[in-house]
Amino acid sequence: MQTPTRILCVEDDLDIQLLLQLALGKLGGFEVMLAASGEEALQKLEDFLPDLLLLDLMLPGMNGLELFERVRQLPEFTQLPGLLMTARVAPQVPEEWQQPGILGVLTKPFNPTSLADEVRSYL
Amino acid sequence: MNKWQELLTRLKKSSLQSRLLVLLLLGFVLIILASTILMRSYLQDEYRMVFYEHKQKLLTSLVDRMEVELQHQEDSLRNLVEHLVIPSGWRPQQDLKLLLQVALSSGHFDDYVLLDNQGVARVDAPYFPGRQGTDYSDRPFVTQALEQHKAVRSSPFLGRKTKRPLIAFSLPVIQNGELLGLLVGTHELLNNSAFTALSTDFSRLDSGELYILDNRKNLYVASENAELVLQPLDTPAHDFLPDIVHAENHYGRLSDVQGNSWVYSKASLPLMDWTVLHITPENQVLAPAESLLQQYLIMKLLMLVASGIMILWMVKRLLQPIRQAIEQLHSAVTSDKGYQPLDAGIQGEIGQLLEAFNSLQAWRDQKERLADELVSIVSHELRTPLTSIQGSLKLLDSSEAVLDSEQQKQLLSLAYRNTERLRYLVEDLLDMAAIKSGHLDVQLQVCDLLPLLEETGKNLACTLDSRQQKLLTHVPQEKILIKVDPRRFLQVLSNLINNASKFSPVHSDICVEVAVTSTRVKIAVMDEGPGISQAEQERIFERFTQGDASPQRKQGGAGLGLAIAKELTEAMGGHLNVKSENQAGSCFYIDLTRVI
Repeated sequence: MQTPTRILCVEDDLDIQLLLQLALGKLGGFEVMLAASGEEALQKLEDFLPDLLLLDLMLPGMNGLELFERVRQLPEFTQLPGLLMTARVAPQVPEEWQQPGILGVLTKPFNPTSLADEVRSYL
Repeated sequence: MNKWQELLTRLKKSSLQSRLLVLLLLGFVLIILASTILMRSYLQDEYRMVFYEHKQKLLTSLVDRMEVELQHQEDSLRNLVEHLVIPSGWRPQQDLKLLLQVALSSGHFDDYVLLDNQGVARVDAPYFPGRQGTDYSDRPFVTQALEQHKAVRSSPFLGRKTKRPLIAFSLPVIQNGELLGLLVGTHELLNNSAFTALSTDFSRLDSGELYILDNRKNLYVASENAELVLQPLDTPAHDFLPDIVHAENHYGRLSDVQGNSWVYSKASLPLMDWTVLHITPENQVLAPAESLLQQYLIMKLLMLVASGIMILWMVKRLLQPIRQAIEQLHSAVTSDKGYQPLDAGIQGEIGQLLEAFNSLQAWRDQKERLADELVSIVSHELRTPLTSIQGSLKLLDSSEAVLDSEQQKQLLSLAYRNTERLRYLVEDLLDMAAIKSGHLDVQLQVCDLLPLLEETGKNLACTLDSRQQKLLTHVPQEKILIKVDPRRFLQVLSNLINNASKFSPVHSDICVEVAVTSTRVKIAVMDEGPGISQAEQERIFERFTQGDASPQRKQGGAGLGLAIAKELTEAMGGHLNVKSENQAGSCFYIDLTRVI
């Protein structure tokens, strides 16, 4: 059996963390690690070695994009892909979000029953 | 009339600059007019006065000289009279003739006639055939002298034999109180030495006409124009002369029939009852004043034009920023470029006005930004709990089988918690609206602090548990009463503790400490969060602000809580303040009056 894809979810809202845990881990079959802030994510990165970063844009301290750039500068994660998640209502995806490594943007509210499939569609 | 109205309407519609130009021109014209009129009347008065004074001096000196001359004549005549008689009466005829001949050579009189006491000529010099024996008693000056036995000066008259204008001086010849006759000396008016001398002086008077007039008979006695001598004064040319002769003033102005103005000066010669009069056309007197006025006018015009150009230039410069601003505002409206700050250019009111425009626009922009921000914050704040509620319900609904009962319970409480969150948000928004419109509802009553603290702790237990935070309370062991709206007080306290929880790390402690004095109660809520910088402390109680001003805010929340809490605290008569040092946690404290 193939080892499950490892996703590091960075989300400051603890309730949404729980939903992500259930939707991606329990239902989606991914191996999920949760972090509430950019700092926490950077700490957990080395041990967890994720295959994908799922980043909320609005985070305490550094925001999701900043965190993604920081991570990509680390030698072992230069190719690590990322998915952005935002509650922002915008008809278009801003240009600054379209950069190498960012696979796509997920919008909140999300459907937890289909979230795993959605994530998988980007992989 | 219509034309004027049209002009006025056009002026009202015209630009500020052309209005100023018209105003300036009008002002200039008025100034020139007024100053010219004033200057003119002043100069004319001044020149007239100078002229009068000068002529007066001249006339006085003329009169003096004439008086001296006349006195000499009288003296010489009196002298002669003494030689005409001898104790027995008249000298012999031959002697008398000789004496008169000699006297003639002295030049005091042109003609001597000796009359007997009946006024009949006895001797004359020079000799006129047929004069001897002529009766002169019809002459007033002869009659008067014969009757009154005294010297009489005649008015001018026409000589009987000579047919020339004359004046005469008759002196009684008296011996031992008996009148022997009269010695009459006559002058020709036209070539009299005294008047010849005068007329030389006349010509020294550069302009005008000089006359000697007889007051009694209203006749010309002397004039440069010989034809006038002995003519009556009221000739058509100078019909005003009698008026002048009898005027009280020694100088003045008059108009003749043709409307020409004349300036006169006069002096009287009482000895002869004559008037010495000088008249000049007024325009000659005022000619220097007029030429001075012209120079003044030219200078004034030049000055006004120069200052007008300067003022216009300044006005143009002054209005330049406004014109530019208008253009800029127009293009801001017509194009999509939006508002560009106006160039204030110069200092002063115009610069300030344009600056005020800029700040007004900046203020509006900020308002707009705030409104935009509110929409995006509120929508974000609505979406987050909605995501949780929707997500948990969907999971519960469709994946019941996969989830164990613990997880189902978790999801349920998650959904519940987030509906609460939504409720708080909606209440916050309503409160804010109430504060904004001034309809905040606060019902004050005296309450015990401790139960309120306990209730807050209970309400927030769930939230704190989810972040594994502990709430520590330090309250003095005494009854503390405060006057508050309990619901609102709970709201403020929950907000502070909620904030503390939100901005503090998991597993940290949140401390509520109550300190009292006899009159005050201070409730402090302290956390172990990142703290708030000095600059942020100043703005933190404003609406829609969180400590971090970056566009991507660290924490959820509409940024309304603290603004509402502060308003509520103040509505309850207290104060809400913050003390914090960066990286060392924050302390929010409510300061209230203690009720004894």
